[in-house]
Amino acid sequence: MFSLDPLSTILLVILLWFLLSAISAPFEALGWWAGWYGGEVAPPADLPALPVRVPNQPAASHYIVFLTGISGVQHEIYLPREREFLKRLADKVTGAVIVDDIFPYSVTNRALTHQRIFAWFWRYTLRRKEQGGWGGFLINIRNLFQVAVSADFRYGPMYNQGSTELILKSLKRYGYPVGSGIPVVLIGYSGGGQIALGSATYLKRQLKAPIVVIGLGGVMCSDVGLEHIEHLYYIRGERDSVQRIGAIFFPGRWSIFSGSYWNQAKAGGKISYINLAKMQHNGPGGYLDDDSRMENGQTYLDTTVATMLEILRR
Amino acid sequence: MMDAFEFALALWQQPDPVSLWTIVMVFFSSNVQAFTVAIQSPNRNLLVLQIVTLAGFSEAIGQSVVLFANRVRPLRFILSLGVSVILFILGYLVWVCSVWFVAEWVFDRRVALWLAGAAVGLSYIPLIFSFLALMPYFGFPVLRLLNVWAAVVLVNILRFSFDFEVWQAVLCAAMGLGIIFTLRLTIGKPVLWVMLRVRDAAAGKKLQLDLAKLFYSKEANDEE
Repeated sequence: MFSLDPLSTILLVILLWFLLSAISAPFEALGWWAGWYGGEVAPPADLPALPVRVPNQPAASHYIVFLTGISGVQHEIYLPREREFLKRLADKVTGAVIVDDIFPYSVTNRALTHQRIFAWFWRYTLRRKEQGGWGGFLINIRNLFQVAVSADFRYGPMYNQGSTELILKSLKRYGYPVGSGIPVVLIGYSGGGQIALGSATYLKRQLKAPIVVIGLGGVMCSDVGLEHIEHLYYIRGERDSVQRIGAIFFPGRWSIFSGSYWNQAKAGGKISYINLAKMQHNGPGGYLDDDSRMENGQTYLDTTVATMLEILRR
Repeated sequence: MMDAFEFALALWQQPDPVSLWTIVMVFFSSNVQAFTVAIQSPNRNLLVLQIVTLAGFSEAIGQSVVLFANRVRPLRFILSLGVSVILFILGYLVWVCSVWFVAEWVFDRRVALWLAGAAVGLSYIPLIFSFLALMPYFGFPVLRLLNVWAAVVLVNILRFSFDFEVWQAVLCAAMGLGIIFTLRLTIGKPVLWVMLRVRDAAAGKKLQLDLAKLFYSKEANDEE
């Protein structure tokens, strides 16, 4: 009945894939919430073997939970730059426990590359990514839709309660005494910022402890979680265009909606913006780049770590 | 001689049935043309039923978050989708009757009920894409846009099929909607009550259809 030229066919296939990814995005959280599957959150076999965590401290003054960016595929931090960042943070922070084994883009903590019907596809995609191909784009889009699920007023409460369970289980595994009131710091890199804010409401209810969120280039909406945290530190690179996605696409962050959670928190002095000159979102020139240097000679990675330490000392 | 024969044959022969796919494709080029093709088709009633059923199923899928949020079991979920489709079709029939009633009694247009049914049914084609409401964050606005699109299409088709001016078509649709709202608040209340009970029976539990109440109310927060 109708025919398409090759370019239109490719564009149509991309559009269909995009739509399919979007409409299928909420089902993992919905199915988990409804109790159809994934009732028990899949625990990591053991604490991660990668040397980025601080062992359980007898009297930790606070717990730091790292929620990886949208390029993550599993609960173990596998990106070298993220690993190095956490390692340096762990070396310099004193009296804190770092929790780094959460995959925030799955409410069942299931890696994309394992325990899934399409695990083979994500393994293939990951290989393409590691070879410098298009795989990274597909993974980013998949995880970005999970960020949108967390920000959606219909799905968000379900997704965010799933994330909260993951964080809670990890905190307990790392020795967090529930009810102790020990402060928890959620570091959300990129889309992890939204997951941190989204889960803050429920985490606060469970822990009854102060919760601080650090959004590192965070893509965040005007989430009700802002009412439940002590403070949001929003670290933004001047050349980071990804973090602007949140400010553009989430109407609650537009200044015209003065009654939104975001604008209310901002007006109440609950949000601090920390601008890092010249930094981009990721890769060379990104927050975790150890090769690019600031004018004072400090690498971007060390600057980011130093900024985090300054926040943690407040 | 040949032309006369072909003309006689055309009168005698029924046109070929039109597929749903064809109507949808024609619809994208012209709403009115799709309507014309549909009403000339020998399977016009089936075609309209297919459109409305598919739109109903699509909307049920798009709104299925309510079933998940209420933790409905898988078999009950499927049953609930079926019930939603049936209720959607009943809603369509009420909508047809109210539009037809307004056209007949307010605007004095003598239009067959089946034609009104086809006009309203064709306007449901945009709603076939209601499943897009599943999209996170953008799904809800997309659903609203689809509803607006369906309303514009209805006005377009009413103009053509009922020989209306634009304002008459808009008024006819608006008054039809007004009748439905009035019915819902008056004699339709028991019907709505029964519909809700049927939904609950299919789901196997009392459904909370308002997600805001389910997740954001004080009661919901106190429960956890």
